[in-house]
Amino acid sequence: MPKYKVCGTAAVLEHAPGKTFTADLDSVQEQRLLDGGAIKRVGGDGRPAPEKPELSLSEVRKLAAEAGVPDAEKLGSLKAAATALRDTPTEEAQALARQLSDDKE
Amino acid sequence: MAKFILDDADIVVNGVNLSDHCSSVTIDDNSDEQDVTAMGADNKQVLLGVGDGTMTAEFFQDFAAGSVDATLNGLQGSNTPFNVVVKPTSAAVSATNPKYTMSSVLPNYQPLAGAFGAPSKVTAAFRNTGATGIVRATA
Repeated sequence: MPKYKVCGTAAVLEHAPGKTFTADLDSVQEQRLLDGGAIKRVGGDGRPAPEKPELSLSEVRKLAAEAGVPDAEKLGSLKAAATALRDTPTEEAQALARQLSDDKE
Repeated sequence: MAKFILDDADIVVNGVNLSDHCSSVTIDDNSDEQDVTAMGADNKQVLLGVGDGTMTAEFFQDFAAGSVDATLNGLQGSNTPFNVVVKPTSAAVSATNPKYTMSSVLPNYQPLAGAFGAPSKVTAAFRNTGATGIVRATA
């Protein structure tokens, strides 16, 4: 589940300013809160999540292999990679799948 | 709960608690009145028709991240609903501190309106868009 930090001076979803929380927000509400600066995504340690540069197919293949995706080197497209990652039940694969999804947006 | 002074109302818009910028709030839960008086009647007969709801709040404007403008600006003009939740006080929901929730849209938003020397305030009229209207809960 994604982790967020309350950025502004207003409490968000009953979490006080400055606090971190995990929540499964619907995509529209999440985007509105992110756009408004009420929250930001953070990593597991509560610090801001690192910037995620768009990945090339070869980088995705390499990361997918590390995340346990079978036959990762044979993935033919980023779309196929995203599907394969979603189907791979490791935390690394799911995180990478989310990152690919974000990059497409 | 006895009589009380409204000085701690709680208003949360799309998950953001804007209570500390809110100076007034009104919950308007109503139904259309339909006149069904027929020939021979001595008195008017009214039936209630379609329900409706509006929650109106006045805020002191604030353009800081995550505050009034940043919250309302992203909501105006969108048909994707968001929740507005209002309580009489900031205490936990209970039988004496009911919670009113409305799936809402925001048709109008004036980010800046005011006179010289006056505090910058905005009025937001959240309109119902949910099938259930304004829902009252005590737990």
